Amino acid sequence: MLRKRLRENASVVLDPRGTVWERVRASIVKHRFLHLMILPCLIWMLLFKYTPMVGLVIAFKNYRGNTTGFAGIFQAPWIGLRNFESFFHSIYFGRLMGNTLMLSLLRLLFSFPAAILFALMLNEIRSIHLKKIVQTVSYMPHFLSWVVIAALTTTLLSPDSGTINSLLTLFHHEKIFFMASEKWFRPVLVITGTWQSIGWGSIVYLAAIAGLPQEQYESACLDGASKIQQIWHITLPGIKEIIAIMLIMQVGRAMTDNFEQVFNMYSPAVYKVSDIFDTYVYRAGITDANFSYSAAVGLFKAVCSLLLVLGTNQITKKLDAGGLW
Amino acid sequence: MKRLLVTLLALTLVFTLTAPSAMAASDDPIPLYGTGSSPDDPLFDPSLGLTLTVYQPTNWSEDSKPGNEAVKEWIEARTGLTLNWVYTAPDSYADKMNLVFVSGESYDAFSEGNILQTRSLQSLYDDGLIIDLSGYLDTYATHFREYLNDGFNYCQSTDGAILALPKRVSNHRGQTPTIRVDWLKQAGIDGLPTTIEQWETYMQYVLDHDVNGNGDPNDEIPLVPQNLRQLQLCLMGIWLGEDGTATTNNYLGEDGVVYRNVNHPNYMAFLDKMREWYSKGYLYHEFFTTTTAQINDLVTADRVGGACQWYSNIVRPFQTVEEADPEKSYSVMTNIQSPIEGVESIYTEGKTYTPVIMVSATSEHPEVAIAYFDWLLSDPDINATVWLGFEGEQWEWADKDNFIFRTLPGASDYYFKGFQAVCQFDAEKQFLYASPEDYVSIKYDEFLKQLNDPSKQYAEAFDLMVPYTKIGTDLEFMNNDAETLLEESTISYIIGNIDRDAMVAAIAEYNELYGNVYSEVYTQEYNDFINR
Amino acid sequence: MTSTVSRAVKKTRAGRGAIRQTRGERIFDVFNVIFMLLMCAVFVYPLLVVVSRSVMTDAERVARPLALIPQTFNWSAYQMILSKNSNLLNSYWITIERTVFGTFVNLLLTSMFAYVISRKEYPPRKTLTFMLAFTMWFEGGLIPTYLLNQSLGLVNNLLVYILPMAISPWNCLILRNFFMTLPNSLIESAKIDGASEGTILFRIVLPLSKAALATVGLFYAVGHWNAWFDAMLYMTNNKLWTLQYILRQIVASANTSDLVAASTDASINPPTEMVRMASTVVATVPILCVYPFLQKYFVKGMLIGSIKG
Repeated sequence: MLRKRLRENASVVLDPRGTVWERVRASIVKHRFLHLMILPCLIWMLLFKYTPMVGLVIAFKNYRGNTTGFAGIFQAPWIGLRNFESFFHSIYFGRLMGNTLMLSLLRLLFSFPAAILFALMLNEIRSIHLKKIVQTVSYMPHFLSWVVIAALTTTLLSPDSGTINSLLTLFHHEKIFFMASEKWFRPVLVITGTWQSIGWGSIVYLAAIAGLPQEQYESACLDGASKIQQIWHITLPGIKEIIAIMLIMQVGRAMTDNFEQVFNMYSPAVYKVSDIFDTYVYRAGITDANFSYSAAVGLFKAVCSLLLVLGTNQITKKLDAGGLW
Repeated sequence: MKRLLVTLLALTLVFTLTAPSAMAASDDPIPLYGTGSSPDDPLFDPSLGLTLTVYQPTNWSEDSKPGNEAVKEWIEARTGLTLNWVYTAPDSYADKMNLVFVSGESYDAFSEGNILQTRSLQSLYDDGLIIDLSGYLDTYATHFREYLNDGFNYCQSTDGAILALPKRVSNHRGQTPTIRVDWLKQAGIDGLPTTIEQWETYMQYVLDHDVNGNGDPNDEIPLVPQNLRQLQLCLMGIWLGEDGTATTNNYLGEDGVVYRNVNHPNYMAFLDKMREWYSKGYLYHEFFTTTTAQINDLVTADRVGGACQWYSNIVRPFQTVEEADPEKSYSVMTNIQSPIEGVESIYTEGKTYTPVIMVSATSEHPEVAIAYFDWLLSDPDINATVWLGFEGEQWEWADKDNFIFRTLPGASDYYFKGFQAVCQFDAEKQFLYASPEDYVSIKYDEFLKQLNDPSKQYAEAFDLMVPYTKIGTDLEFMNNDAETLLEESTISYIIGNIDRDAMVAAIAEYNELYGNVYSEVYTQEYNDFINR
Repeated sequence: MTSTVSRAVKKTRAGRGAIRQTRGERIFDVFNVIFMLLMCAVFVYPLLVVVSRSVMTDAERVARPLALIPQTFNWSAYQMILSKNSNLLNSYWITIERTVFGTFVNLLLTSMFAYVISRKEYPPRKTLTFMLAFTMWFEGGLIPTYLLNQSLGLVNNLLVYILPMAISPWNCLILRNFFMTLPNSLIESAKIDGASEGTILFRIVLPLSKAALATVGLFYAVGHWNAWFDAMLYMTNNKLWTLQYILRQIVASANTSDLVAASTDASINPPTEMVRMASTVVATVPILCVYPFLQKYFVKGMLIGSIKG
């Protein structure tokens, strides 16, 4: 393992003779500043992130918190995969998986490119004044909680007195109960989700575009390239790595991302198209302190997320946009 | 090598962090020093330096009010204790308490809050988090014994241990439908409807006519349930009779088996009627997607012809409308006869008493907590002071003999009603009544009188006192499929998305998945309880 | 043609000759502006609704839902939040402290970590990146985290706001990516001049990454500003509560007791909806005021747009 790593880095000039330990020591000395710099961060990560990971075993135990402290976690009886079985044998498992993935996929297809597109368009605005105003305004939805947004959406879409339905009746269309319609509920989720995240999501891309070297644009201008060509050939490739990384991380959140939104907007009439893992488990509640069940579901989601991320990482690397690692 | 080092580091940290286990009650119980009637006669010996730590959810976050310290000192002088109250916002309270439990920190007592909605009293006891109070009650809880003794029936474990101090519920008949009396008059109905047909006539009238006089005949809604559960709680008893008190979701079959109420022979008749009402537009179409706030807005807009929710929820949003025109008013409606032969309508009565204070197993001196709350009941003046502030400054007696008080202006700016959890103000004997002029609206008083009219048919669920638990039973590891199925099917059936066969099939599937085991387990627990 | 060029030239700082715009591009510009204005409306409208509802009475709100300008202004929600609770002002202070110090610690540690794992020659780079990313999905959960923080003595300690979330893997990876786009030659030449890694990071890399730091800093700062869950878990001392936590409690407490008037001064007893909206405004407006100061770090991108054509 070590040998492989050492071989990878051609810039590490080592004496090919000598034992593994000697080579490792040489490597440590060579990068001593970097090691030193990362040490506090590493300690932080191990302490605050990895130590609590012992809690992952709760998924396999019947942990009830009756013995206190970490000892309680260790002493709780093992039940192995029982929680997972209960979860996988759910008659809704397929549906939950489908909804969770579908909602995230829709987000990926619509919200994700929308943020990039928005950043690109914002970038093209000539007036700095307008640009600043639009930018600031576009973040505002991000700061509204889903409780508030859900309430506003329900009012807007109400078949009773909502604006949209008033417009529909104006055009002699019959009223649509959007929030309870299996056909319309997912689009509602996607549209409100995009609305909320587009401004905030575009920040990263704007920052990336800000870092692109100017000369390329100037020479492209002189060569007679149109705006569209400039965007396609300079801007997008320039930020492709940041797009890749945002894509990977977005995919990584596919299993967990939508809870707040769905929870505040769904109802039993649309469970079929919108009930996701998180809302299902939430309804089960931590009933009688059954922490293990939610721990098991959490672990399952984490494993799925990791697989999705690894897959996406491979794809982005093949497309030469880099990856997470 | 680096990775080896870091793994070692991590492991060491893990093993050094095993927290100490909880401490149990130590020593002999501390004797009462006095009665706590004055600083010269403190409840406990002040020289002992005892502290009382209590966790409580608070609906009033302004615990920086000027009078808090003064009242606290007043209490401490008379009890000889140092008070350490820890407040958490209500919606996070259950999470917070779970963490307090697992971390084993030492504290004395906690207030029920909403914990018992997700965690049974029995399981708290089985998990060793709370203690049996029986041994302490005769010495330290004499007033509870005197005034609230029946309440202990609602706080028991399966083997008869007493797990909590009770409080009397302010109103256990709150799940009642309400109806607009002025609109009834317009519809030509004398008094309140007594049959389903009469009620339907009223609702049809509301649909067809412009009863609220704003020129638009289409904006009135005959019946607005707050959500599905409220609909069931308020109306199911009309079809199911005594078996329809939905608080515990169960009824006792003739075969002595505890069934979930969806299995009742008359249940489908109830659902059928709800479906019919929905399709005719009697039921508010969006009842399952809107929030309470939005329903309140409908009430304020003078559009609601009747509601299924906690009886008093309608008062505040309707206040401005009613004040502008006193003719407009609601009444509670509990006169509907059952449409089913041989069934007598019953309306749901909740618990008369409910557990409110649990004493922690990590408390060093449980008797201190018990005695403190008992001290609150020793004298109405003490009760009122701890709850409201100082007599003459924040409140005064309107009728001391009947324990009716009146708050004075500026009261809530001064003090935030902490340090107590058992105070209720409508019950008998030692408890306090708010003077009606204090109410946000006099309507509350009217409603209460209507509800407490002895001629009304109310019944309590047969198993309200049974300390059900799922832990250690076959139900423990079951997933949430059954509830989801039921919820989804019921709503879909009511709004017309699935047909009757599908609904019946859903109930059958529910039983297969969960209901049969549920009946088995709960029947066993019920029998254990009554045969104790 | 000349006029188009001179117009375009006037817009550029460089003053170089620039190509004229095609008709298509001008149409695009106009369309873009209109589109952006529409988007503005779509974004801002709900926020305006929230603001207006925070001063609108119940009766008016039900009569005119989604209306923007209230006919009568009712300030009782703001009165309730701002003047009656000295703890709120205290929590503002706590939250500001937390945001400033927390973001500083965040940026420091995150940039150190990001810098090191962005260096291609650093051997454990991939492992460490993986270890960091791994924590985005796998975590012990609430209970072990709470137990850990408790045994570290972080309960009722302001450090609990800063330490446990000092490095966000998400932000760290974004920052790493930005560092990786910097030309290697810069760093190489600095090394040849004998600079240590610390000097390189703080004197060369960071100053060049202002846009990235502003972005990541903004993310962290907003996270701190909106945080309430850790206050709920760890702070029993109410002097240490954050702004959002207190606001949540105020909203919850607006559902006051049914029977007895919570305040006999009924005027300062605003309905829930107003209080909820007002608390949203109180929490959000400060951030929206801060952002314009950060915008200059994104300006370079804006200038690019104006040079074209």
